[in-house]
Amino acid sequence: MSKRRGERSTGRKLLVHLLLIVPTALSLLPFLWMLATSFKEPAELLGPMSFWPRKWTFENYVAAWNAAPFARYYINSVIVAACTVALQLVTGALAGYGFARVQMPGRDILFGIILATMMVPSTVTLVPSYLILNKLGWLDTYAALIVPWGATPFSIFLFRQFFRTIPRDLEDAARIDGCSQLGVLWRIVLPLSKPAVLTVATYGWIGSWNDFLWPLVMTDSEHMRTLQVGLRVFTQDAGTRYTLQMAAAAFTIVPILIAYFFVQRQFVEGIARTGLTE
Amino acid sequence: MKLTGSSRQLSGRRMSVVWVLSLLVAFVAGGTLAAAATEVTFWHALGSDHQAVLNELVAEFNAANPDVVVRAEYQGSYGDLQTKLIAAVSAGRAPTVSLVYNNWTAAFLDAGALVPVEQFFDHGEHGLSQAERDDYVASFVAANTWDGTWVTMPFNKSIYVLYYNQELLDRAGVGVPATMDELRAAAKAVKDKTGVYGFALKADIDHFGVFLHAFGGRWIEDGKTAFNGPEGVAALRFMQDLVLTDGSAYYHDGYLDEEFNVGNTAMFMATVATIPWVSNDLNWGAAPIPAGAVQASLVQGTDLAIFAQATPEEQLAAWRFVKFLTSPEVNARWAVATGYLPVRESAAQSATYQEYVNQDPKKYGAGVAQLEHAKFDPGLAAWFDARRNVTEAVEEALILGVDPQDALNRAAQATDRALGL
Amino acid sequence: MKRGETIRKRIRGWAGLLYVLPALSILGLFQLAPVVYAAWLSLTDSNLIRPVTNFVGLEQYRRMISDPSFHIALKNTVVYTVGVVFFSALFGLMLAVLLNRKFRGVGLYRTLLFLPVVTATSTAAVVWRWMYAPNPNGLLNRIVALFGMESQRWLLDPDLALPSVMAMSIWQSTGYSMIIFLAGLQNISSTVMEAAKVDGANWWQRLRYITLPLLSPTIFFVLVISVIHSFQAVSQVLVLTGGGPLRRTLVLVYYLYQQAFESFNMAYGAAIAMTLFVILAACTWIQWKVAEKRVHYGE
Repeated sequence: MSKRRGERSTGRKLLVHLLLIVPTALSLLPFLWMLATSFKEPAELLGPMSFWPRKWTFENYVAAWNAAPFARYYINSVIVAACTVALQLVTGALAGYGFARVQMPGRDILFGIILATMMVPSTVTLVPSYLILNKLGWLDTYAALIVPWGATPFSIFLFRQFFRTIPRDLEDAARIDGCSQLGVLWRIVLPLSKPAVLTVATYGWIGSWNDFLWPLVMTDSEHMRTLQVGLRVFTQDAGTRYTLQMAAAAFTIVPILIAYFFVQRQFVEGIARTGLTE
Repeated sequence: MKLTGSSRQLSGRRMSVVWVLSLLVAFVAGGTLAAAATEVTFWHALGSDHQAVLNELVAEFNAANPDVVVRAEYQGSYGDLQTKLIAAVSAGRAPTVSLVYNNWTAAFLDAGALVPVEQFFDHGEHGLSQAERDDYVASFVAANTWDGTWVTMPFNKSIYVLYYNQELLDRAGVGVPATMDELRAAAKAVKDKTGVYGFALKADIDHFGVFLHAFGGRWIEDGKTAFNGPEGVAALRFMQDLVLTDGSAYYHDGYLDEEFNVGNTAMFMATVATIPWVSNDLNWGAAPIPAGAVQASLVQGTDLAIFAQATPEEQLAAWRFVKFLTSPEVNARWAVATGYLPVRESAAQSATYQEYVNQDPKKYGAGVAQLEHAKFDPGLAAWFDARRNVTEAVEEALILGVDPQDALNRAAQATDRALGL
Repeated sequence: MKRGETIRKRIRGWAGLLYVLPALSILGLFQLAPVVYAAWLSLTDSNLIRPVTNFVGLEQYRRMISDPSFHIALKNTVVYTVGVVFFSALFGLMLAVLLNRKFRGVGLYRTLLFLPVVTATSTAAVVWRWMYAPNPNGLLNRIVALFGMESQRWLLDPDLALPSVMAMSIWQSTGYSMIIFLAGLQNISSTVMEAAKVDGANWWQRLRYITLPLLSPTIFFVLVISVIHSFQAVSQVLVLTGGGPLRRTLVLVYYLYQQAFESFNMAYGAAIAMTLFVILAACTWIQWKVAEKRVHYGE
């Protein structure tokens, strides 16, 4: 009997793999094509195309990297994404804690307003934001790329939901021991919220890393530009340098992919623990 | 990045920060940072290859003019550049000079955001003599003039030509078409004899515009939209005949050179800016747009505009840069390196440019040969609405087979509304 | 004494605001203030660059009501949103159910299936546009040829253009709903499942009568977020089709962009944005109300 069960579960495993392989392949197809193209010689795109390069070349990566100051763009993207994430964590954790645990006037209305800001297309807030950043004298600085995205409804929402799942007893005990409310957040609640922190950080990083129009509009100088802006340089009015563009796309995507692979387990748990719609 | 002079006692550490910062400025400015250099920011949308050429010219200008520092700043696609200019002008921090399409010029001019270039013509030392003014290609000057005022300077201009694959034409036994009738016959012959499409086109306003002008029509006449007149109808019907009646052509929405390069079509129309993108594995050439009722072709590309928010010193410095970029020798080099048209007669006649044309006249001669027949899109702020309306009419005709007259009438009505005519 | 206590409570209440203050000041300055500004713009004739701006009341909204492009864009946006939300939620749910178990390689699947979410939409769209190449040499055409189908003109075909854009969006957002569903599934306690198994419920019965009801709060969350995202889609349209052919892929935010920045009609663009905001808020509110009745909350 145990043997039969073993067979059944092997069969089921096989079925699961079979069911997963097709969607995974579909999800990967554009990436494989991007990668395959990035290793092709430009002339190969002219003939009848084969999926994989007939002749593999690394030239595109070298040429793409040198087509614009990508090293600088990389540093900027990392600085901007890291600072944005840090700020989102601070503002998100504080506000999330405030909404989850602290009494204040107009709490629900405030929370509703914050969620409503998700519903306004950023196309229309672009110029007003530009005017505000100009008044602050922040245009063409890191501040313009970081601060406006330093708080998001998503991170506040996520932290609030997550904190609600942490037993109050723990916090009360700490309060009795003379810990301040802020101290409770810092010493008790946050250490228990690693998955939420990771989730907010992942989404914050993806959003910041992939943003194009904002950094383009808010900065002027080349040395303030980020990777996504750099990717545009391969498109001109009369044509696109596909092989270079694909190589550049590859070297902007791969790092966050690797990072995601390492955090994905905690990431899922982070969302799982929030309960999301309590 | 601005370094103001009010730096009292600076600690050593601060000093080094300032030092690094100024190094950075010097680096960005391209080497020459004189004490009181006037800064000129130049916004453009020129990507990789063109950008490299432009940056060389900028460095050259900065080296020759130590009292001016021009910073060329890439602002993404033309759409991105437009977005950015709107934001910057509304915030009062427009660039000193920028590349602009002529419908943007109209809008910014209306808003009082531009300084017409002609204000600098009589400046003495940096002015522009009458002989120099006359040297600019007349049709460009006309297109850059609003209400009698010469507002912008043509810079990266291109004109439509007919690209053809010689081998496919030979196989079909036809020559390079010089008239629209020949074009239609050649396309049909190629399709019949080789199985390859004879012609590829875009179902949009620009391709319609080329045919419209070749058939003797105009966008606007006497302050009224005129593209739905008999010439426009004939032009759209011609496109329809190629695609629907003969089946010798197809419409496409991307870069047509890609279709051409992989051998999907024997001929297509695009501007001379496409030349560097056409594969030299093919035996190809570029001919003037075939004549319909008249010989004509459509110009595209942007102009240099100086913005009014800059100080007079900055405006003058910007003007000197504009003058430099369109000076005969520099302009010829720019044209040769990028494939754009020379904007001055002397640049077109220069040894540099002639040498370029003569190295393969079959490829490089057609653009400049058409300059005298150049037509332009109207310099109207609301032209973008018109673009969408006309494009839709062309799509209706080519995709749905709608009667050209009906489609164009609707587009003309919508355009009249948009333009307030 | 009682009075003293309420005052102290009130002070503590205002102190609570300090927690929210950093986030609120950023959101206020860079989200709310721009929205208020845009709302004001929608009542003017501003194009942002002209120095003089006139108050025109509801003129822009009146114009919107009689603007056929707006109606088309609204219709396309609704079709797009319904299709993308439905299929990405459905596929996401199916994948999450498959992935909600421990086996070798599950992390790899989760990572690979999430990959499209990580990618910038504009970059992904460049690749997709290329895959949609309308000639027989295009990648997708070669794939459909394997199944004996004819070459399609994908983005150029008026009937296929919008579905083609939607396909890319479904590809990109499925991973997002998958991860959230996965998280929701992990919250369902295994004891309930075991009990059902012991009672002899088969796989389908467990899904239908236990998983789905317990998952309903998550489904609700995915729907709300996806509707908000899809309604604001623009990058893919910009890169893939530019709104054509025949305005079949013109969506609201793209139309807004065209008006505000290409046609120098900022005020009209702002009016479209405000309308979109109201529609989304109404949608979310309705979803909320429906959820209150239907969603099954564990306790």
